[in-house]
Amino acid sequence: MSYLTLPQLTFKGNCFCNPATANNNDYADVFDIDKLAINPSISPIDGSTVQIPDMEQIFTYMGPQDAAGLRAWLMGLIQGQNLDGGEYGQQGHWNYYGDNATRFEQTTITGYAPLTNTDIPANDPLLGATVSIVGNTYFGKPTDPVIVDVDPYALVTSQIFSNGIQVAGADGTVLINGTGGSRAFSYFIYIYKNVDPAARGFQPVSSIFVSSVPSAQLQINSSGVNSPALSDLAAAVQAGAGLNMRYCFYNAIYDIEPQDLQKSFAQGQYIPNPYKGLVLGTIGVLQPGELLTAPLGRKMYVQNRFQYQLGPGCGSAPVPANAPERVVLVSKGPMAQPAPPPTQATLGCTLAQVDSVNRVVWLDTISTFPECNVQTNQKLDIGVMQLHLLYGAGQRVPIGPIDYSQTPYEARGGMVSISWATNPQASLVDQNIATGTLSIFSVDRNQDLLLEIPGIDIATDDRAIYFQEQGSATISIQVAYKGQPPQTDTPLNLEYWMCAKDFVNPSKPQVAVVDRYFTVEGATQLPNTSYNLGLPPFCPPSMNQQSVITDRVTVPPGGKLTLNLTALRSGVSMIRFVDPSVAAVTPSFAWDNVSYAIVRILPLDDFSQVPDDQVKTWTFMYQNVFSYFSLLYPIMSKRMPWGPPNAPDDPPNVATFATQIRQLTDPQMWNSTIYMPITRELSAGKRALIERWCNLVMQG
Amino acid sequence: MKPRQTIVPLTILLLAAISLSQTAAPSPSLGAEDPRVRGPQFAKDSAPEFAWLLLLNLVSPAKSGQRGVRDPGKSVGAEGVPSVWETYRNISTIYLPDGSHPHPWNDQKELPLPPNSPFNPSPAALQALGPVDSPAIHYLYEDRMIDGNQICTLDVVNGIRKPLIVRYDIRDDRAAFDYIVNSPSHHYLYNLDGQEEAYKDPKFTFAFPEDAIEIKASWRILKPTDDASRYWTAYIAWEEQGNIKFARGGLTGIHIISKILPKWFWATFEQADDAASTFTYFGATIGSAVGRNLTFNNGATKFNVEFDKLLTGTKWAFYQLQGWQTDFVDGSNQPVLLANTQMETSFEKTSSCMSCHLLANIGPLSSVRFDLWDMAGGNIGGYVGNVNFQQIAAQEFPNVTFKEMDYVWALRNAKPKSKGN
Repeated sequence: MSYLTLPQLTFKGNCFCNPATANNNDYADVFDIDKLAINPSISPIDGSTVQIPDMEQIFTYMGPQDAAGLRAWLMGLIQGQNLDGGEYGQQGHWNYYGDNATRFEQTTITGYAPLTNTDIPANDPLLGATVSIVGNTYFGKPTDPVIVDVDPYALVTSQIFSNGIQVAGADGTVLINGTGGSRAFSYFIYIYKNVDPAARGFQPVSSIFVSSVPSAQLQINSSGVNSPALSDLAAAVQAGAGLNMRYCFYNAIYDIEPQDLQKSFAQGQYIPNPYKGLVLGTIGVLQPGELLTAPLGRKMYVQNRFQYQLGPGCGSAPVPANAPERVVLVSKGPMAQPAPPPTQATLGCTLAQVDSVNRVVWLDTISTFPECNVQTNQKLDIGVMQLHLLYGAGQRVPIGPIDYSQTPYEARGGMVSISWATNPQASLVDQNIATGTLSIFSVDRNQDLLLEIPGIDIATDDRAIYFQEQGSATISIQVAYKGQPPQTDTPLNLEYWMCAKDFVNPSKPQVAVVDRYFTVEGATQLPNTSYNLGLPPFCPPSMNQQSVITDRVTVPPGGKLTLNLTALRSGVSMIRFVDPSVAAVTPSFAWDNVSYAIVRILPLDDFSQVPDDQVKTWTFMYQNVFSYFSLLYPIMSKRMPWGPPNAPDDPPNVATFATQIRQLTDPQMWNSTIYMPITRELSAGKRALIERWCNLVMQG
Repeated sequence: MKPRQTIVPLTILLLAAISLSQTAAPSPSLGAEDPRVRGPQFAKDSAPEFAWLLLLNLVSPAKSGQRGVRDPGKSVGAEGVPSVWETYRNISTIYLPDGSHPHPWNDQKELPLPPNSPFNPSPAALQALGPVDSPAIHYLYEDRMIDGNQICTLDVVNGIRKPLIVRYDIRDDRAAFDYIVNSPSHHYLYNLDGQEEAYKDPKFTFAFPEDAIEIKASWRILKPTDDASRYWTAYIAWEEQGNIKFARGGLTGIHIISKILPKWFWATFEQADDAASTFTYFGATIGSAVGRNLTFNNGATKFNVEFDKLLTGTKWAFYQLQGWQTDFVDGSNQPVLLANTQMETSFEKTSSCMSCHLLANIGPLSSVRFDLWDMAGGNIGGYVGNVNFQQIAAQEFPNVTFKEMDYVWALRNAKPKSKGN
């Protein structure tokens, strides 16, 4: 259901993403994510040398008195191999002055596939309408949505906070206004999205996001506009529960090279360096009971590597003959240098929705098949692809061909409908579609490239949860087998992973949690599960072998379970949901083939015993709260001039914003795009301290 | 103090204006009328006219040495004479830092300086600041708007733009002053202690008298060589890093509120050049010009034309009514928005004087007063439209009792009484 079936609005345009990067610990071990503290000794990534400032290889941070120096160090320059597209990078990485703003740009509706047999004229006002994800308003002024990593060390924990979506006609008439709605979480990070050897930055990878707006928060202006498409959509929404949107960010790169960014900083121009790329998406109708943020449908996550060659039109730049072999990895920074094309890849995770009544399978191929040219976005020709159904004892039946070429891909937002109505073996498909295994099959290779997961699928809207040390939280999960809830008790394993915390690199793998961060009520501990991760060679070999703490819970009939978590210590980690009835699947590097949730436990900061006279002083607040944020997210200093001395620094001015600071950090603003801190890492204790300080300042 | 019993129909005023030459001063009768004598219904039904007549009355010259008393022998715009409103008490002289009893109403002290302070300006020092219309010194204790933001005008020196911060003063008339300082209820509201006693008294309700007026004014710095021909000018003073600084000030905006109505009557005026001459200022960066008032009420245009004509030849001809407010919503149940580009620059679109001021509140000693801003739906802005005080209080501080302070946020400037006072 949802966008996987009709009606479907397709939109296409550009994406803009401006995350701050000092907290990624990509090129320097700046801070400890579990303690939320700046590290006392900060070194750059192995193999690199600090050029600016002044060969200061290690920065010693004793406290806020060193903030000015650390800020300057983070804006410096390091030299090494394989750094940000060349031999240079920055300690704070590619976007020290990011403000996390995220938005669509020049994004318009390119097609509408109606639910009914409505004729949609070419001049329907909905076609060509602008699509936006919108933020909250700050004193009447709109703000951008924000992208926030739950775990800023990791590649796989992004989320987008927005205040809904808006579709506006060419004349500015608002056709669809969805206010509020859900967060959107990154899924299916696909590391072969573009196999152009010249691909840099985020160009090789893609991520999808899913969000929804329930009907109660939705306005569709079908009566005010002569639009058959809008009327068709409105009628479908009337019968449904809201709108559901899925979009893919891909082919993205930032503009400013590290040396140039360092020079700008040195000249006092503290500029952002956002990445800009493409967005392609689909809007459909949310159905009652469906999750708002989790990809739905039958999951095709079993990826088999295949060989390919770059054909005509592939590659946007010549590759030097003596270029080193390219290591395929997921990187937050550009590739070191162009290299001969890899010859192996996998297809990206794919969702399928079966409509047995109309004998159609909808495939979401938004990030299934690679492109091979970052300039033209031409699809990589990997031969004839078919959707197959495997059933019984090794039997199969082709359902139909899959057209993955560029034009229909962009026109239909990656949605492909494959009908078996006229299939000579239609009845065989009818009989087995509900229980068989879907496969994307390469005819030329005679190989199943992507298969439906054999066991249960586990999904949750609680993809990212935050709570406090000594606190508790819940994660509600839904389990399904081929799209249907199980009718019996279903065992489920919980594995505990985390992003490698002591490894400075833009591409950190997920590794096993050694000491639990939380317990799950009612879970039974099992022997650890062992994995050989097969990590890329830049990862220490010792990381390959992982022994993962594993618990067992039981999901009751109906497939719904709420996990009750109790914090043991602060930090960020992940729960991986695993079907124990099938053979263990090693997570891929980008965790695209994994069901998981991210758990962030904030430290228990207690300032309740600090007297008011001390709290009211600027020094105390700066040392205990503001200094940390001013260093890791310097863009905030432009708005709240809280220093350090070599940044906007005006404590009395900050005090006058006390009333706003108090409101912007209010827990009820947590889902707002104007919440502070953007990173959502303000502990309850520090929040209470800020509130006390604000109150004392406001009282005079 | 009751309003004057003089009513001069607008038509008469206009005829009088037509008969005047371009350069003649207005008749002393201009501004003689205090429109409040016509009663609250006039304020409701003829709001823009009421606003203009009230302004004229308030900008009329004051009697020498007598705060708040109009001099019937002088014309509006007469130079060398402060306006009536300029002689109202600066609230910095009402809510004193030590919570002590303010000086009597007619006390002429304005600056937070002892009489023998060497920082008191000499006449020569003031003269060097440039010619002014009003000899009054306005002590501007606020250098920013209520949301913490600032605006500025520009001083261009050798091609480099420097900000000259716009500053503010708030003034109360005799009626408001007496209510705060000499209240017959004996709850003295000029310090926090008195306000808290008032809060605790179950029989006490904050209720200013119907002849109370409060003014908020915004001032720009005009250097001696600046063209001041379109501004009402006076001396301004402010504190900067422990020192009192002086300059010639040009009035850029004026809020007027009158308790003629139970929810007060609200009106605001701006100087004609504000849109392009004042700029946002944040983080040591000069931003864009503030632009036209987004809440401008088109119904003011006709009255602006008429009254500016009446005021031809005076500085007050360069001031224009932006809007007024007599209720939370209009006849179509839409929120009434009212803002001044000099005082609500960044939140004009969510500014309703009445809705915000309704939330002026006091709670128990241990609690703070709740906030100005509406955070519904994850947005932040001012409250507009109908506002339920108790509902908002309950949302922010459940199980805590708050009292309304009769729309007067200025009361929160009160400080605790120092020991020995």
